[in-house]
Amino acid sequence: MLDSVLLALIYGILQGGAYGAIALGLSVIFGVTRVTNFAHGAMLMLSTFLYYELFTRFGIDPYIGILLVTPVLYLLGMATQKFLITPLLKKERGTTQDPASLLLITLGLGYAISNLFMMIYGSDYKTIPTAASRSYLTVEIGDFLFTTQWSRVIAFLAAFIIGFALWFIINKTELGKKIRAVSQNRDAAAICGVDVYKTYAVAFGLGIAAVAVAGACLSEYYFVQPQVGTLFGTKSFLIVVLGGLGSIPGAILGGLIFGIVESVGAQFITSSASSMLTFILFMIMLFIRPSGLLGKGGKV
Amino acid sequence: MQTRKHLRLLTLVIVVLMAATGCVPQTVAPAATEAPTQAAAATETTTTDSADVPVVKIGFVWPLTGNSATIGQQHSDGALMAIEEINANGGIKSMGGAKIEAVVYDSETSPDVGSSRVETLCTKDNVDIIVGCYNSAVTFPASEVAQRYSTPFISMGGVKNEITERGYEWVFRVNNKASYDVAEMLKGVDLCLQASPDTAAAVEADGGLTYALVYESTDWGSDNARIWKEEADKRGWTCVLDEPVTSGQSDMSAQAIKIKKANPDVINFSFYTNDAIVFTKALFANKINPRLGVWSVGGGSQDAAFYKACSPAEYEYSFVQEDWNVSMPYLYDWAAKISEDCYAKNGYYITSFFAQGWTAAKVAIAAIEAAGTNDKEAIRQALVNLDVKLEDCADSHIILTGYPEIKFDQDGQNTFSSGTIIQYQNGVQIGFSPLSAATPGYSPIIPIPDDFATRGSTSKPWGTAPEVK
Repeated sequence: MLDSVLLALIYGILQGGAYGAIALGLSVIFGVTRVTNFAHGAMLMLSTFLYYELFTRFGIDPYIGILLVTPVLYLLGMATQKFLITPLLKKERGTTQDPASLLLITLGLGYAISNLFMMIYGSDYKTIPTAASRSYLTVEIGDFLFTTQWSRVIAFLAAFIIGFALWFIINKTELGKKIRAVSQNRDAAAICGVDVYKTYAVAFGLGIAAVAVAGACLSEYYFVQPQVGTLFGTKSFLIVVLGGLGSIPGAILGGLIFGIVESVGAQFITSSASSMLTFILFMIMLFIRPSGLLGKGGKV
Repeated sequence: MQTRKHLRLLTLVIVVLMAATGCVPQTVAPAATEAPTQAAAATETTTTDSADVPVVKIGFVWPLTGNSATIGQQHSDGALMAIEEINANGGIKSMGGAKIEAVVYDSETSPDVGSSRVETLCTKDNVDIIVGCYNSAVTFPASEVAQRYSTPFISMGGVKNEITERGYEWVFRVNNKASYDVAEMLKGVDLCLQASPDTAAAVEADGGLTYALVYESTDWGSDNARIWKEEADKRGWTCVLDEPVTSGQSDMSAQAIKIKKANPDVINFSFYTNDAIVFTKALFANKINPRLGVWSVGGGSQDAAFYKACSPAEYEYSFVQEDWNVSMPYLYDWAAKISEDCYAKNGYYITSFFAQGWTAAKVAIAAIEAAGTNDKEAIRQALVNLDVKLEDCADSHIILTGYPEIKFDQDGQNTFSSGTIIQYQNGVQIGFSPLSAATPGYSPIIPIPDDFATRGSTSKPWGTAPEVK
């Protein structure tokens, strides 16, 4: 039993890291703009299709493809903020936080992207058979056998690399100062000469760029399909709320907790009951600590 | 002002994109939800030549988005090609060459949506007969709606026993019910034991056969597991793992650990395509090798998309209960021709799902032809009296699934439906049960070799025809 739990713990940590990597961008976007980006999963899916195209057409491995796809997704994120979110924010003039119209427009965008890809690619499940996806990390000691794709290990590590990169940009750069200022009080930041909406666009771009990097890791071991975003998008919301809205370490911690609960829980109860546990955990967190484990009231 | 214009334009683009694939949530654009998802295509293929020619409307509800989307698409492809064939050959002859119009909706793999689509077909589209909905969890409530509106409903794909066991006179099922599926698999396990007496003796020496059930937790998977357990209990087999799994997993290593610990002789799983891929990869990664194999009750393991996503090594030696006679394209020229046409049009040779969509549409058309009218009660009566034999299908091409016959019992169940148990050997589907669908010269490979290092290295691509010995 101990072997099983230990194995499940390791698998859970690996899976949780991947969840955290995907959720990071969402957390940053919310922390800065207060916008719950319901198109997050669709953006993830979009990035995986770009990696798929790069691989099938030019043989470019998704890990290398990050150099091409991330800037594109960054610009897409900026454009989304500029042409969809900012006009609504201006209309609201700051009278409400996270208005329903913002939720609906990102939700609509998510549906539109998913359906556009369904129209273009159909519903087939595609895989990117790279070297990392086909090579395994195996640890065998007596009866104890741990084996997993290297790509899952890389996805786990990516969570910390993405998290550190975002933390560095936000806390150690001039741009980060503006982002933090806008996050804390956009009106005061505006008075100090910060272009609030441009900063929002940059933050949105960063969040989407982060999910593009996570998308590369995901596409190395999971399939590429227009509805992939639904699964990971929903989980990302739960993880971000659990870890703390706007908190970078919170997103990783939330992901790890989700992964561990799912995997270890399934060793004691059925898998479907274990999936339910994560939702119960989410609800408990909403009651006892609405700002999440490492939340600072939604600020980055 | 400029910003508002941009916003309006973007909103319009979003709504058009969503409406085009029929996924507009009702709260956003209720009118668009009423647009058939493939109305344009359907209308294109079924346009009448003149206003005098009557039109017969058949409604279809398939999962075109969601977890079963690839499967639903193949059902839909089959049904629409069957209708094309009829329309191209003069339509419904008993109705003066009436053309058939297909109205296709997406169930989104959701019971609520599927039921609502059936209601729309009954009340707004006024279709003459409905075919659907693949997923048991969708078909079960959706067929109840058809019953309420006294509209003939042909269930295709849904195996939950109770779909045809509620005393509904408007509901018919062409394919297997869950108990037939399980019976075929258990018979297959028996054949494996007979084929390898040494393995049978080893199983006996270890205290009898053990099995693990791993399944998606909605109607289909749960029903299959329940019936398997009931039947296995009668044989004295021992269940060492009963594991329902919520659909939509991104990793199944946790389930693999449990299976490894339980160490069953047989694993039986029922998953739709997405979970079947993740599960199969997890089993292979963890080198799980039950001596009597991994058995799948169709679902995702019959989907061409599954075989594109998994490597031959990952599915080598696995057993699949296919919901059709896999030898049809080799046994009948007309089936081979349809398979070629399907490849030319859709990019894949016929699969179980295509064959099922085709056969269901053909059964609906045969009933209308026999009724000679689009009066629903007359069509229902024609279904009750329907009796088609495979050997008589050379011209009508009705039973592409290869069932020996289609005839409904008092519950509306086709008692002649049957599938094939196949095993992947060197990447090729080898049928071995029932005998009518067996690939000559082959027998099941039992016990499953422990050859993970080399497995799949010489496998042929999926879809390769077996070399008949």
